[in-house]
Amino acid sequence: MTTDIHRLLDRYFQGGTTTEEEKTLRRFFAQENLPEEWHETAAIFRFLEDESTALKVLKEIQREEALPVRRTFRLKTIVTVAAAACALIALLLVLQPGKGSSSEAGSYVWVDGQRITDPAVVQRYAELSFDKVQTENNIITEQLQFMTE
Amino acid sequence: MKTTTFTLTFITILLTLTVFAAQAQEGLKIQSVFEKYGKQKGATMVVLSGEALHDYRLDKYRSITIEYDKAILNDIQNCLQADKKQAREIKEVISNGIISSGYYQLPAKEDRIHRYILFKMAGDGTATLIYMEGGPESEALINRLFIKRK
Repeated sequence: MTTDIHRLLDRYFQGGTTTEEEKTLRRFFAQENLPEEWHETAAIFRFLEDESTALKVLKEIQREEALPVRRTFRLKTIVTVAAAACALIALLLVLQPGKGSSSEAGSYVWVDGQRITDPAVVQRYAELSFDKVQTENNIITEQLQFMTE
Repeated sequence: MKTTTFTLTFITILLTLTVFAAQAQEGLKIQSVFEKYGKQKGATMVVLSGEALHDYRLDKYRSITIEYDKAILNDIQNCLQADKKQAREIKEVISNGIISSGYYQLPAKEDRIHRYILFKMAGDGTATLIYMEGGPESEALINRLFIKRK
């Protein structure tokens, strides 16, 4: 067994071992109570094993860090799509026919189906319309006067 | 790049909300009266905005004077009845169950837009309906104008 390990070690340091053979070496040097002569070599293998574990952990951390980035990207996509949808709906609402579309912005008057935009004429019609809704008198005063007559 | 995208998205959402708010202000039943009868023969519809309203401290003015028949009158009355439910101040004259004259001040929105509906039926078979919007300072002016000085 010891001879085999020696032979494998030689090949290992020459870079000629297979994966299976390296596993055998790792298993061997991972043992407790190794003879004194192997302690130095065992330390190297433990270091390599630790490094391998550390690399695995590092990879795991990197994978976990990548996940929130993906979530952020998804959130950004959803927000952007939602904003675009809202903008489209708003645009449709603004351009809805008969709801004061942009083509009818400004001041104008429709008289018997004819649209007039002359500011002076529009102003005159506006004043006329306001005159029409003004109350002739205070209704309470009017009724009190009637009661006292 | 990230900041730009988020800023653009934020602005888009803000603009959208503004448009929806503007649409909400239009959400009164009487708006249908302007839409249905404003451009027809026998009707006079006035729409003012911008500079024309500066002196009146108003942002929006829309009026319609229409020769009414029973159907039109019913339509207008139904709209007024619906909209006055949300009014915070009502001054009206009801004759034979029909609103012959009305002033309705609707509650101001968070953006401090005051809204008013005025209505009156004249003896010549016409009815006039007015919708106005303005800032807080418009209230005193409208109250003063509404009562005709003799």
